[in-house]
Amino acid sequence: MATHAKTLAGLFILVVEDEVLIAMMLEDMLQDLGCSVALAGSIDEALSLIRENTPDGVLLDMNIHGQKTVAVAEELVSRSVPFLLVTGYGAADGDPLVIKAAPRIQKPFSEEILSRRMEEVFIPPKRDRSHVLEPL
Amino acid sequence: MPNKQDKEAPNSVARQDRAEQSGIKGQPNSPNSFQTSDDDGDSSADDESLVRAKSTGVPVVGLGASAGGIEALAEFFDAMPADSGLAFVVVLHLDPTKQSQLATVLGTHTRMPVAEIEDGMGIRPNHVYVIAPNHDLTLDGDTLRLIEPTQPRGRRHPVDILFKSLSEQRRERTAAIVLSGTGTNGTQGLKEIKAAGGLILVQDPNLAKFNGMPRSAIGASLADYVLAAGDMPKVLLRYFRHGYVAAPEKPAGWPKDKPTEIGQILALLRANSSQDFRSYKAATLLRRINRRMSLKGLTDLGSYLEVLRTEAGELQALVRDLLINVTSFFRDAEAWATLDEKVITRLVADREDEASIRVWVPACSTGEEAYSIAMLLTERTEAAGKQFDLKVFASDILDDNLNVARAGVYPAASVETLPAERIQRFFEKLDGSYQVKRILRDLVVFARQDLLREPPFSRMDLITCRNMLIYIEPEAQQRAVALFHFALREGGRLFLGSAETIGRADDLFETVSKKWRIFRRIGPARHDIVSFPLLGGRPESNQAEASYTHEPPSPRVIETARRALLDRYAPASVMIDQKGRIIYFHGDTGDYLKHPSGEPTRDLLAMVRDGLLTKLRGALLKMAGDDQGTSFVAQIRHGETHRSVVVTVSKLSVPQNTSGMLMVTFEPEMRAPLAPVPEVYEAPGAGEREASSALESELRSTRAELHGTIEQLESVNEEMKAANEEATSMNEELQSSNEELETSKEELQSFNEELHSVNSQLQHKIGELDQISNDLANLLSGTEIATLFLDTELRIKWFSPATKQLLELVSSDVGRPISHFARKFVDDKLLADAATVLEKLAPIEAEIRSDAGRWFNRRILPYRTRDNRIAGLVLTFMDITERRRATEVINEARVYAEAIVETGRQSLVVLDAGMRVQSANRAFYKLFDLVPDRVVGRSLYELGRGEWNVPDLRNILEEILPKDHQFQDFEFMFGPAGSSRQWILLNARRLVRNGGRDDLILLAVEDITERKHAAGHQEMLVGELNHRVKNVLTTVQALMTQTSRRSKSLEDFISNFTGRLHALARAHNLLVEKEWVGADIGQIVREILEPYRTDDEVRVMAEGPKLMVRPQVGVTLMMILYELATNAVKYGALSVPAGRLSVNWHQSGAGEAERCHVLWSEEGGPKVTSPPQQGFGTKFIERSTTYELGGEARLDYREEGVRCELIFPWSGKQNSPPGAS
Repeated sequence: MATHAKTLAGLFILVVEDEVLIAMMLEDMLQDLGCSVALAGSIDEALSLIRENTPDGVLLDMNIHGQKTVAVAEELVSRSVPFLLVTGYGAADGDPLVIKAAPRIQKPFSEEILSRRMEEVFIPPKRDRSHVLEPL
Repeated sequence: MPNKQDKEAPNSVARQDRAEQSGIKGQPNSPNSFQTSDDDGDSSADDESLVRAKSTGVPVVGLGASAGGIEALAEFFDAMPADSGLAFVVVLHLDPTKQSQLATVLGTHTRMPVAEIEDGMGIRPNHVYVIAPNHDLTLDGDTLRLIEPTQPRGRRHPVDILFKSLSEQRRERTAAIVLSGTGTNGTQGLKEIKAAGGLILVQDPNLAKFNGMPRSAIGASLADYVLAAGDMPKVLLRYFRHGYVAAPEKPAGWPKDKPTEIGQILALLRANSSQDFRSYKAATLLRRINRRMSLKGLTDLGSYLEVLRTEAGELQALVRDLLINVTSFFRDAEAWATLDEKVITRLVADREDEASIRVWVPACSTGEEAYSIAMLLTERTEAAGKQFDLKVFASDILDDNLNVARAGVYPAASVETLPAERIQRFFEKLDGSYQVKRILRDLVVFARQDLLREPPFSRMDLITCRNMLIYIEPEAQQRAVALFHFALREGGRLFLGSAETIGRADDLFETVSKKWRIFRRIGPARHDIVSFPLLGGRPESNQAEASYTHEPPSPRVIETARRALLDRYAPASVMIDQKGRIIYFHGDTGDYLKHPSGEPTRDLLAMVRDGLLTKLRGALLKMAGDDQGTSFVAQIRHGETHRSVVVTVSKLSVPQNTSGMLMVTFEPEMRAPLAPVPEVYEAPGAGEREASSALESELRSTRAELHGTIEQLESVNEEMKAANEEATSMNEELQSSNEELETSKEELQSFNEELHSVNSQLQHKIGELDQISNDLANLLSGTEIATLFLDTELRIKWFSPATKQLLELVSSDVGRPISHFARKFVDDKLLADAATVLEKLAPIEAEIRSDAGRWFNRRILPYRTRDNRIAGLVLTFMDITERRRATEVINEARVYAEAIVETGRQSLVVLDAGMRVQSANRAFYKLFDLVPDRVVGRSLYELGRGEWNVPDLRNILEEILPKDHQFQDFEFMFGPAGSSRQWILLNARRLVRNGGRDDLILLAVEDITERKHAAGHQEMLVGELNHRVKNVLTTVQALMTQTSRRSKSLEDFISNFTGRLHALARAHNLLVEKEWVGADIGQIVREILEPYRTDDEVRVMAEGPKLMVRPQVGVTLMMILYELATNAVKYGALSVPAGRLSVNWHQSGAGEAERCHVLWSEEGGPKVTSPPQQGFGTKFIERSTTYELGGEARLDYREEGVRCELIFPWSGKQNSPPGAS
């Protein structure tokens, strides 16, 4: 966990979540991981936060006050910002491609799962690959 | 006219015997002493008249009934007047073990006294007598006799016994009535009644409760009337008041003054029924005719003649009445025993093995006697261990009788008198009757033959002709006896009825048994006495008829006088025929004739005394010419005396039929007889001259005589020569005749051979026919198809056994019109259809229902003979009940299935191999909004706008029939893309059809659009639920981590966490109660504050209008208030008794700026200090207000108490459902 923490530490993570308790929990968890955290309780807020200060990664709830966060996802894809969908839903046929293809983390989750998924998604693959290639 | 005495003799014997039979004892009449002074001059030889004279007792009506008879009896007696003068005897089958109530019952239906019979009871008019149980009943004079039954129960025929007794005791003065009952009881007795001339009434079988007895009586053609029981009294009274019964002693004297009508009736019978009754005794004829008249209620012969001419059937009825003959198996057992012993047994013993035995039964009636003989012969032959070619020829003139005889079916009553072993051996039991077995029937040959007019059979060993001769005239009797003599072989026996005799023919027969009338033929064949026309002509018709049409004979006195005069004055004469044979002698001819020695002769020339011969022969020769008469004087030498006699020969010219006959009279010459010659010579001296002149005169006369004699001799010589020549030529002729005869004989022999071969061929054919007939009978009984053959008059020709279940038929019903039968089925058009078929020759079919509830297919076809002639109709009744039932079941099933198909919601459509719609149900039309006219017969793919024309569907539909596929749950989108489409689910399978018809496809169509939608919706709901649960779990997780981070100890954590979780749960509760529509702020506040309220103090205040918030807002609000309340309890106003808390809320602003305010305000608690670090509560309140309520929280830690104001956007419209969020 410590190694993970090191790798994730310093990343600026945006949490888009309307449930305040969950948002608070994520904030705590991320802070534990050494990340700096911004919280957004609505889509508009999230969009404006992204545009102001592009985060290193986003934890995105699929549903904010009854609205799908497709717009946020599209914005993130267009900005090449990695994001994890935090959701209770499975992938559904009717979802737009951005949502379907997005990596996700199923609610509820443990801090460990969260950190692993974040490493997989938020840490740039180059580094990963060099690691793999080096012994060659 | 034959000698009267001779004629009387046999009949008087008949009378005596009959008299003995009928109970007149002790009148030993010698045949000749019994001279009825029958002044009529008519044949008095009527056996019946004698008994008639005896039957003067009370007229008796016998009533026989069995099951169902009491009702019929009641009906009868209700209609019967009490003063009829008749006595009624009722015989009913009664339970032998019980006291009969019959008398009592009948007593309520008549005013006549009703009594149960005791033995020896006298019979009186206007009384009713009822049989006692378990007895047979007979009548003896005027006394009723009860006798113990001889037959076992079930075989008894008490009605027969009564009827037989009545017929013997009362002759025509009785009536027999047969009412309802089963079986054949009564029929046998009725025959006796009929023969005795009594009246026979039978209850209409259609009205009788049980029609066995009436039908049996009618079947035997015995009923005079078939009536309802209530109609019988009228007929009875009419019958008993008619002269026929009322005054039997004097048959109205009418035979004498109405001879013409009788002659006409006989002519009518001859012309229309080819029956010749002229030989019948006039009295018999008259009595039978009178009986018919009594039945018709006529008293006048003329009107009866008219009835005979106009009424169809009456003629036949009269013929039947005239020919009625009672016969039964082994009638007069004693006579048969004698016959067996004296004739049959000996015949069988004497005859060599394998020879033939021939018996003739003339006038066989219905054949019982012939069969009796055959039985006896068979039994004796077997007993002797021999084998003969037995042949019993039985003949009768009535075809009806012969048909009955050939069929050999007899009522049980007539057969059951025989010993059981005979029945077993010779009969087969049918229902209610017996049939003579085939082996016996084959022995007896029945043929139509008129005994008196047609050639007889010949070379018989035995002739049995019983009770026939008594009905015919003596002259005819003699002819018959002569015929029997001819027909018997040498030594053959003749068996006659007990009242019959061979008459004067004792030169032909000798007596074997006097009592039982068995005779043996003696003497050689006597062709001279037998005369019968070879070709059935009727040469004697004029003569016989003359006896009825001529003037009646002159009174007897004149005849007597005439005879006396003749005896006294007429000379002795003889009448001779052309050949010189004497036919009649008159007076004392002894002086002129003598009997030569040798065979008796009637030749006159052989009988004349000496001296007459020459002259008489000359005179007779002369008479052969035209001479009318001649006479001569001749000397008869009689011993030494000479007598002169005048002989006159004259021709008889009147009457006609004596032509050619001559009368020869002998008279003594009146002159003094010539003195004997010696006397002349003894007195020469007295006068020589005189003597010489006398001598001369004698010489002259002698010369003349001599001359005449010489002339005569010469002419005789000439004649002799001529005769010789004639004889020579005759001889030649005879020789050629002989040769011709030889040839003829050869021809006859070859003809005989031919006949033999034809006969054997016929036998073979008969065998084949037998085989075919068996096959057909088996076929018809095997198929159980009721089949009837009718002739063109719709009379029954034949019927199969199965027909009995549809029509009340017995075998004797053949020949009766079908319309006479009660049908056991409903078919109003039967006769009309039959007529149509006869006319149009096209078959007609109909379905009819029998009374038993079965259905038949009735077909009527024309009956075509091999030469394609229509000889009637064939009716068949095929039982189609099962078929009909099956059809009904199928129909029901079809209706049932159709009802299901039509009412079910499932749409169904049936397609043929070309995908054309064969049929579709209502649901189908409704579902696709189609009308049947535009669907049926069209291709599925063309329906509507071609929505069905989908390649996938086509493929799988078209595989069904060739590959016997079926498919299930084929779904497809129905309708063009874009429009409101329907989801359609299809199931299809092959409908196999039998009978080579093409199979069909059944397609079940279901509209599953709604189901599809519902499924989608449900899926969505499940996803949503999943999401929510996970969300809630995450919330709980967050709650836990947040709480744990800020708890000092585990206990602290548990209490905090539990409290918060509880608050969360309560918030959810509240929302669930409100069905997630929203929450009232007031309610949320009260829910949170509830634990802190006390009754005595007003330390907690909550106040505000009713404001509804979204559920999510409600939950957040509750959690915030909970945090505040927890804080207040721990550290604030609620931690001390003096502390007070108030919560207020209100709304402000409008539109976008519309806000909700919630103010939490504490007072009087411990002194408040700002917390050193931000706790969970504070953080939560601030964050959640911003985050979830989109508003702000103003938290103020005042010293006097915490104050918190929440301000968040709110809309009055927000109490609307929150949607899926």
